Amino acid sequence: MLYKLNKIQTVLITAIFFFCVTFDLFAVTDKKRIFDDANLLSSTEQTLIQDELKRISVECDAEFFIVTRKQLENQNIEQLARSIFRENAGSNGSGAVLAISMRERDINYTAFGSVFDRHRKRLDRIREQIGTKMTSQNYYDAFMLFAKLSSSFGFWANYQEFMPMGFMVSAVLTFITVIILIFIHKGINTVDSKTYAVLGSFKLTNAIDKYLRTSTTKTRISKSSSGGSGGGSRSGSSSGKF
Amino acid sequence: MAVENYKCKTCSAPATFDIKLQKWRCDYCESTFEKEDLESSLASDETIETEEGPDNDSAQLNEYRCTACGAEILTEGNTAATFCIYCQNPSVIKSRFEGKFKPRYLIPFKITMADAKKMYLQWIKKRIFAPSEFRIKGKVEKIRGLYAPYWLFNCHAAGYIEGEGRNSSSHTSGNYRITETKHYYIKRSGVSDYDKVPVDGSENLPDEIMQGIEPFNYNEICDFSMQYMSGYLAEKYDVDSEKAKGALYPRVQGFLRKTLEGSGARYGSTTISTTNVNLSDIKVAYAMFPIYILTNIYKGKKHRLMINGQTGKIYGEAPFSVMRCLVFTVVMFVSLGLIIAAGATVLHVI
Repeated sequence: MLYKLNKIQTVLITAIFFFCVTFDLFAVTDKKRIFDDANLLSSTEQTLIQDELKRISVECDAEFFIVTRKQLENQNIEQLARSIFRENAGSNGSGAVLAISMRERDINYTAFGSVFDRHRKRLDRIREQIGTKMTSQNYYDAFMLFAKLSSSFGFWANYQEFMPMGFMVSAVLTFITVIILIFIHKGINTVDSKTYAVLGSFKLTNAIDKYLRTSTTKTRISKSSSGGSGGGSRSGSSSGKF
Repeated sequence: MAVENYKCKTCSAPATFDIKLQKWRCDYCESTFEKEDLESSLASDETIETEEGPDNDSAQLNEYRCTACGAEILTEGNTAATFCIYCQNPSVIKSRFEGKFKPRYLIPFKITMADAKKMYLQWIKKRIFAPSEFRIKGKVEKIRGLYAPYWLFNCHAAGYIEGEGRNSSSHTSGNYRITETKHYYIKRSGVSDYDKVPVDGSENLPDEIMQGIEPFNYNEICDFSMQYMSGYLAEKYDVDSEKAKGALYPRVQGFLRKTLEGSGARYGSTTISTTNVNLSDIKVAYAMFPIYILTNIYKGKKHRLMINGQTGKIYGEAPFSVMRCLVFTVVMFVSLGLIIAAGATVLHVI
């Protein structure tokens, strides 16, 4: 059964609809997404990156920000990233922040909500890849890479991400398989030390086991600083140096 | 040179050893005989004397006359049982199983030629690096059955090994993994007896491949009898027992060393620096064991393959195609890489 709207109701609903859509669009388009306090980018580059971050924000329904500082003040790099997201993301709980501090050479990649869900296992890898560009002072490329990696959500994007690892494992397994196949190409020798031994004839007449020394090796365990946060919202962060 | 033909008591056609029946069977009237029946039927007039080369010159060709068709046949110096190349009449050259060449033991064929061919085809199919031309039936026709000369050694081995044993344990301390390895001096002394360790008695048969088709099942070993040779090729030894001992020593030393390594306290890893094994009470017996031989020629190189005529075990030099190996490696590398990446992606997305 259809509910018939009168003219006033129709105008009101249309107005509310357009208000919401326009508000949302303005909310996306007007938001400042790059905070380059360290002056790493030219104004043209800033504009290009701002546009790219806007585009992926709409595309992924998430909020993406980049913040650079000359130095950190009263907070660590992760706290900086989280505060930027908290202050600028609004009601959207999904997104990612790339935070850079030039004096400390700190780099942090923090993801929230659905972006964290998609990238939770590769926070370190994303941070490392961006860090490599930062080290070589390709700041524009580094920030564009942040946009690209953060918005790569699909199966294919992840597939490409896992390909190098897949081929590395494959190389090892293929090598082992081929070596085994070459080794057994002639057949397998099944004669062992017991084949011709007279049953029960072996006697161990003497056995000496004398302690000589103890050697110790010490290996540093490499630890990643990435980890998820507690509390109600889902997020995770990876920090390092560049 | 005396040649013996074991003939059917019913029709006088040649009788050959039937593997499935484990009796002698006439190919013409299909009568079957026990070994004793053939011995009693062997008449003196069926043994003919032929020209014979010098006994000590085994490399020379010898001539004998086929008792069935009268053709003069040349054989190599070590051939002890053969066929007439014209009428396929089986003949056993008696003098090559006499005196010092008389074997003590024998294991009869249990695997028929047809079974051996099937086994070879199944085996070569599993060698994925073997060229495809060697997987066809035509190549199998070149298989031949042969009684090969073996020396069987009984001996007592005594010796010791010395080396270092290591046990490791790990624990974490702060940001470090600490691995502690305790090193021990180890020495093991022991004795063991070995029974019928085979060493092949033919220069023509490669030791490595002959060892590869071992072991033979000694439960079926029996006293040698020339009747078993009828219908097969056979060679007498050209490596005497003294020379064969040279191959015996490293084998038995290896056996005792392995046994000593596995005895006493166990270690995570072991390095043996000294091995000293002496053999004594060595007794030797001459034996004939059944094998099938196939020689493939690939790119001008001979590849020998052998099948144990009793157990069916196969070992040998299957031709190796580098191209097949490369194609296999590339296909496996690419497909496995894509599959692993896809699997990891699915796990990640889930």
